[in-house]
Amino acid sequence: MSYKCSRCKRDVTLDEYGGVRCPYCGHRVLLKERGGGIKEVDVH
Amino acid sequence: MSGEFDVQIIERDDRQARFVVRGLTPALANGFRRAMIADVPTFAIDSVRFTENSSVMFDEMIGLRLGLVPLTTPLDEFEIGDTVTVALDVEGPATAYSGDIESSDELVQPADENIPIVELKEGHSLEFEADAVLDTGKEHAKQQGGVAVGFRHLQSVTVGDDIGEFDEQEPEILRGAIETDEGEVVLTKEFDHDLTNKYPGTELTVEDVPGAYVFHVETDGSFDVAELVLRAAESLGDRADELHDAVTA
Repeated sequence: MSYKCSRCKRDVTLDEYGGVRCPYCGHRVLLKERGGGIKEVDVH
Repeated sequence: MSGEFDVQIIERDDRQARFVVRGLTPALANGFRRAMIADVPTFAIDSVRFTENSSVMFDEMIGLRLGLVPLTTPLDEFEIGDTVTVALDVEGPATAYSGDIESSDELVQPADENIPIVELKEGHSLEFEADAVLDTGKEHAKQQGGVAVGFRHLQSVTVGDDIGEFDEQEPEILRGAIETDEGEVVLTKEFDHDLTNKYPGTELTVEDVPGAYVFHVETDGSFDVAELVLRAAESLGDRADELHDAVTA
């Protein structure tokens, strides 16, 4: 799953052992990137 | 019931109307109200394909908002189940309004152009394509053409003697329309809904007029109020015919 660090804006990939932390700046707030492609939503 | 109805329009514009119908039973009046809410179909967005949404709201939340945007519905041109494609593409900083929605059919457009969908900040953008489907309020509330439809008994006012010189007159609050002593139907907003403003210092008796109901009807803008009322009456008639045919077959 790809994330973006909210402080240094670099792309971050989380692994099993690293925990939720940016490996470049150590910031703990990561933003989930929107997947490519089209998403279909039913309005009900 | 004789089947002879007397209809008197009190006020009317494109989106709302108030009228008196005489000769109804409460059951038929309520059936008519329900037909206006649930039987007259309108277009509403049913599925959305998001290409881009970097706003602060989830796709699903925007989808629910889009479902509630009224779309103009020329009922003679379409049948239940027909689909029209609409699309929107807005980049921030800006607010995406219903007026930004573009339709593939010029007959089906947002009824109001100033309904905010989402506020976009710098770098945010929203792009989607959606299918609007024609269906009835029975299927989903977003497809109700009549949004504020109600009725109440018409009340008549009888003016009595003057009240005593030192008696205090209590406010007599009424809503909608009343029938005066002279048989004239008057809107209560004309005297600020307080009967004592119209008839100060007199004894008043207020009674329901049997079989007479004041309807207040408002549409969401999909069509004008006359279309809503006529289509609802037609729907009731069709269902009565269907029942008659089923029983006599």
